[in-house]
Amino acid sequence: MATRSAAVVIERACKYYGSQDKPDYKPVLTHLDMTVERGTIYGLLGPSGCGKTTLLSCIVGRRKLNSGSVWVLGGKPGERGSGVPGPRVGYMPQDIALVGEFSVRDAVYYFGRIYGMKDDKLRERFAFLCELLELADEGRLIKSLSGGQQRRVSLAAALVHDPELLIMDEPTVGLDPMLREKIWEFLSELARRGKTVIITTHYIDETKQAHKIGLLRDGQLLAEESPEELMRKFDCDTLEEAFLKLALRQDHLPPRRQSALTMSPDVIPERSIAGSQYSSRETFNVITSSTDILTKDEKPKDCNSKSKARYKAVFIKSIQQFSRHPGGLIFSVLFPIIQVVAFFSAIGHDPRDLNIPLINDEAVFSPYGLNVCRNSSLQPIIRLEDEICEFDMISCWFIEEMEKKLLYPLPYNSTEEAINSVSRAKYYGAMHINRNFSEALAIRLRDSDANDDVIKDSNIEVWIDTSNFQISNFIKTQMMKAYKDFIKRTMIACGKNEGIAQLPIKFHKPIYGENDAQFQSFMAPGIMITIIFFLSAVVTSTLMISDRLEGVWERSAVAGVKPKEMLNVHIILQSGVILLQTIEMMGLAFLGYGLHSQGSLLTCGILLFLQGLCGMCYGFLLSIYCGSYTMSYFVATGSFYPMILLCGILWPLEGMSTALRYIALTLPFTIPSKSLRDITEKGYSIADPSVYHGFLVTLAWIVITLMLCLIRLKYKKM
Amino acid sequence: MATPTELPSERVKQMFSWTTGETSPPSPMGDEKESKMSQIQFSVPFEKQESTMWQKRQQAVCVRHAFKHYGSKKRPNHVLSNLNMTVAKGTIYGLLGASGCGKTTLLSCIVGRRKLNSGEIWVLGGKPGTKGSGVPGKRVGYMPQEIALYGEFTIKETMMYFGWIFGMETREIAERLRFLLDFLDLPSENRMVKNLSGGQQRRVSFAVALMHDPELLILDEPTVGVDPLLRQSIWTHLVRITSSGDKTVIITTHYIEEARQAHCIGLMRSGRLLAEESPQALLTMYNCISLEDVFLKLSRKQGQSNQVVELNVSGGALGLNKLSKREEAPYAAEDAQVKGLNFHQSKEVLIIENGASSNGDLPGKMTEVMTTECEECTDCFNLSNITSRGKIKALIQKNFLRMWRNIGVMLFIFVLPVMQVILFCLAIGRDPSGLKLAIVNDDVKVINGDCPFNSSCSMKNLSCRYLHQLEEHTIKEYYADLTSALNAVKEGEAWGALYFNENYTDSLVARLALADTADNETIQTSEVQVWLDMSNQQIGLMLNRDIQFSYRDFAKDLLETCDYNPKLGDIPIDFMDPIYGNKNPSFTDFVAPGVILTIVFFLAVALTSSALIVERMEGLLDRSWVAGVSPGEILFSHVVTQFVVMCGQTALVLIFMISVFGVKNNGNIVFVIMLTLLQGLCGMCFGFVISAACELERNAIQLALGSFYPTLLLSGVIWPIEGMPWILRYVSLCLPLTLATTSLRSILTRGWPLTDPDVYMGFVSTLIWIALFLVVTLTILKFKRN
Repeated sequence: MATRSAAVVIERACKYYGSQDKPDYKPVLTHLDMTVERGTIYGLLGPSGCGKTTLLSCIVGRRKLNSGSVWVLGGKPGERGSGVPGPRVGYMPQDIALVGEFSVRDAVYYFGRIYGMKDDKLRERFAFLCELLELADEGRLIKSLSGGQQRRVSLAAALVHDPELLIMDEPTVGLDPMLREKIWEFLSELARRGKTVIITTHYIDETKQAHKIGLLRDGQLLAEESPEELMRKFDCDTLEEAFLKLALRQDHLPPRRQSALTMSPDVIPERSIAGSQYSSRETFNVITSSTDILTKDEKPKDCNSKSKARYKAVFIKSIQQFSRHPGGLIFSVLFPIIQVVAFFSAIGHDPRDLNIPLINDEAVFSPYGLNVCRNSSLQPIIRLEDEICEFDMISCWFIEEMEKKLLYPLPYNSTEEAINSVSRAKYYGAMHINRNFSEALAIRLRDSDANDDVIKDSNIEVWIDTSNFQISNFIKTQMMKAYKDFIKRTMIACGKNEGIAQLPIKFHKPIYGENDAQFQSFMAPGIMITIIFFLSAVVTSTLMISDRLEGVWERSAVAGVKPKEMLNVHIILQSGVILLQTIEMMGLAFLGYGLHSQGSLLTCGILLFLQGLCGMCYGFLLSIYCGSYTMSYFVATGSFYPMILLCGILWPLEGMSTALRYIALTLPFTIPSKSLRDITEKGYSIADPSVYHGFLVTLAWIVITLMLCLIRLKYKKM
Repeated sequence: MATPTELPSERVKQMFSWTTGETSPPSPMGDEKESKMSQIQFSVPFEKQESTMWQKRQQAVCVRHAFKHYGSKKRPNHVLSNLNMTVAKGTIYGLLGASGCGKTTLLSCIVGRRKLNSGEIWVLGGKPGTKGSGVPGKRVGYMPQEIALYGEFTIKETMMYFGWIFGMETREIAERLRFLLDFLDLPSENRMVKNLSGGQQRRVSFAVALMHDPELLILDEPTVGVDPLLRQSIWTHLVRITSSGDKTVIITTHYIEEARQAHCIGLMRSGRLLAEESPQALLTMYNCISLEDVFLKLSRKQGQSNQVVELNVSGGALGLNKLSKREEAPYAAEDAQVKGLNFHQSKEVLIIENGASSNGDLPGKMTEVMTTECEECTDCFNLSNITSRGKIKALIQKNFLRMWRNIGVMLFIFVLPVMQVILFCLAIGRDPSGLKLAIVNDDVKVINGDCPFNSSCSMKNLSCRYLHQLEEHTIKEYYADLTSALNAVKEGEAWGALYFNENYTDSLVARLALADTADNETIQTSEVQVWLDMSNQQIGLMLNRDIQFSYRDFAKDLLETCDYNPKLGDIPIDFMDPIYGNKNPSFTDFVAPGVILTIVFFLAVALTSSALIVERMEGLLDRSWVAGVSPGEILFSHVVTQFVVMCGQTALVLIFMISVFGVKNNGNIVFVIMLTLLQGLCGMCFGFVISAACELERNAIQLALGSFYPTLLLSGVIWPIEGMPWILRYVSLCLPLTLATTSLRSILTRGWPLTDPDVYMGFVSTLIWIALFLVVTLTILKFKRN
């Protein structure tokens, strides 16, 4: 035994969760020693919760011991060049830990690619494993397989690269007895070829075929022997009974438990000998020097090519995962369209069909009654007499102008009735024109010192319902515009300067934008940015969580994929999606809805794309820092509303208090949405500060969030 | 009548239905093995005939010709194919097989969670899922494969929850809890389930199944990963339970060897029972040492023939059966000696109780089942009425406890709306201030921004007097010439440029005096020239408005001081006092109703959209269902709990909006509160729809988040629906928030009572939506259950 080199050596391993003084302190491994020889099958037995899985994850380098040491294949797991975690071990976790959207073939290929296997070799190996493990039809999706079939695929994934050390956490749970037998045969075959196998199981009896059995209970190895030896020693027919006896013994000796069990020679006779052999690192190295050389040789070229292979594997995995998930696909492709369409068709259009009850006393009291305005032949409204205009039924012109401005007067008979209809919210406003409006207006225009009665008569009285902000504003401005046009028309008809009777303010064509400001073109940039930001944030915020919850993360990590690589692949893939979304949205907004841009569309596109990236990074941040979907959901929703409120698309920043304004400016899309607006409305180029600030802010957010992600990934294993 | 191929297997089952002829009640304290033996001897073999109705009812579980497949009809995935199974009362039935062979499906059919495609099942004399069968419900105890317990609960709370669901008294529960803790060697009852080790959690799960001492105990892999010592004691307990004769246990396991202690074993492989026999019979029949080998042999056989292998194992089975009982007896006794678990005394008592009760009603029960089915129905119906309150109490308490244990999340839930309201009130609707205007004044020479004027009736420096009126929101920057001012606007340094002509004052005076006889030049020079930057719509419009208004104010002021009619300088449109709202309508007042409703609505969605999914994932939904909780009850309990939370949120939102930030409320606050609460309910129900429809939590999240933006845009919250194309307007009216927003706005700004159509339509539409969502949720839940 001493001549054979050991594959795994563990010395005085201690591991606990929680901190020692706190109530959540939970010791898992207490002074555990274990030796696994090369070329053997080692069965690790024990009830769940006894520390099996913890022990295994320490061996594959996923967890660190609190004290004690672990050597795996001649190196310490997690060290450079040890190959652990990496291609030298195969790991099959307890749960399935495969992406549900994978087909059988994809799952096996995924891990093969991670280990950098060539495609033809992979194909060969896959065919072999298919036959051995009776895998289901290679095209079937994992999520549609039964539990036993999934487990077999999981096993195939662990075997695909023919590792030196195979670690299997309960591989045979729930398998058909025939298959179980077959697997054990295969394992024996592996061991004969010099591979090492560590296997855990609850089925104590099936480990009869193992070379050595470790019975683990309450964080200690009760025994570490060959099955025959054990049964002989305890004079039992089954291992089960032996274990029972051992367990009883452990319970009988509570005070001496620790020392007695690790040291007592009658339980584990070879223990002390084996222990002393590898008591120091040096001696161990001597024994396993051959592997040392091997790893040194492989190291340099290994890193590059392997990492490329891993990228390829993870990349293909992510694409498959994404494309086979209809919900996510629809969400990321269809939702931008829905959102953009909803925005463009719902927001910013002028209200239509607004009726305004009108009491036109002038018309009522005219000889033709209310129809006087229709009566075109009988309307000699304006007569010229030495530069003096006489108006008659001029209110008809005003009504015409109003109709041009989309306000439709509705004749009413009495003021009370009209006002009543407004207070019953049938209409948003009512107006009243006096009986001698035309005359009074004429006098008012002519005479700079008109008396109060004239002024009163010449006024059109308007009542509006201001409870709807947008509509009342609309009515007001349209009224003013109607008046402007009306008086202009009148004055031109009189042959006078059209500026008379207007406010002496001349609004020139605005320097930027239109005189009739469109709410839509104002809001569009901001809305587009928020849509792309949050879509990508929502999609990515769940990506990593689902990887983690399904166990794929852990399994890939044992196969040697670094968290950073996972992140990078997700970033690249999501970037593609964001690019698609950007194009989709830009196409819809600029072509479909005819949004006008003064500046370069390319710059717009780049900014939108960067914002999408920024949202993606924000999503990653959420998915890395939040443990559960619910948490990330709450944080996403929680941040969504404030960001929209503060980003200045609903209300200008200038209306906020100073402190709040500074807070708003630091948000990821406040400045960028202003930049985007500056590009589309003002046609600024990227050289302009207000534009490149937007880019800078976006980039800064991307960098900061990514840094935070990487820091977390580096310091906390997930 | 059975087809010829089924006959042999049928006969096999008959051989084992040895309790069917049970006539004498078992002696309470006597050796249970002995009593069973006698029953077997007295049993009448029913040979070569289909079991009658009566027989089926006498079995604890009886499955005949069961077929079940998943997936579409074209590519069905057969799980059960022509499966027959008989579990006699008072026995332990071990159902063995690899995972994926249909064990769990079979069990879920037995407890009424799933329906067979064809075939029939009788459980405890009734069909599961029918009224009065008591299954799912009080009569079965179910321990699913996964732990299916809330991690945040203590052991005691878990037991209380299930106890109440089963309609037990609190005192009764406490007693039972003490016994179970002791028996299963569980730690302190105040430990959280999530802090227990895997084995301990499993034991708690087992304890829950034993809680109400059910007639039929169904255990799906109870011993996986359990310490060998505990495994022994669990088996011992099972043997003891069944000893009284009226309790039945069905247990599944991968671990074939442990099933040696069962009275009968069903070996299941790819949807069929390969054998249904006592363990001893199997061993002798196949001449194997271990059951494992038997299974292996049987599997090989099935694999070879590759077709239905119905086993004819009737030969000598009866005799073997006797043998097995004898052998088992000492084994079980030995198990009971296992140390570490001191439950002997208390157990003793339990058994006496069981025995006594069975002693009393067993003979009567036999006929009762046969003759008075209706009576039983009404009995159970009454029972369900009584327990329903207990169930709901349990469910509600569970929901509250969950929230309480996730106190961080809950705080977040309460802080979030407040934060949003505060941000909204601070950020939205205030007029922008500090807007820069570039001013070029050739009329008056301005030195250091000082523009002097006389506020009496003086016609000098009128431009300065005008500019004074512009003070409110703007910062005036004076520029020397027009080009530099325009450049400032172009570069974004100012929002607009104003230009006054050289003789602005003079021409303005002349214009006012001359009225319509003024010449063109006077008119032109008397105009203020304005260039605005309209790229920010809100700011542009506001400046436009301010410039016009301040001119009117300026003119009014000037005319008033000079004793003219102040309206003379104004245009002849007189905006009277608005009918509703005030003269300067604020954007905040307009958006506030919509914002209140969206906050409450979507927070409720967030709260509930994952509630059911989480429960389903943890397996608790299944468990509660088997315990007899209906989807309606689960939904109701969630509604109640979330409603309380929502009341808190609504109160916070309204207090902050109306009291702290002074959003105007002209109406009745009661209606405001009512409508907000109803909207919260509506959001909650929407959340239920999402969580019932989505399998995965992440899909639910995406759906909930995705629906947020379109709803906000389409509901007339920030833009009136009058501005939408007409089709979209109808779509919008159909959204849950649209009419409610209008209604709330009418209450807040117009002060309307409930009798107004605009107001009550909001209530009505909300109620309709609530009803609709609830119906959809219940339908989905019902549908999924089958």
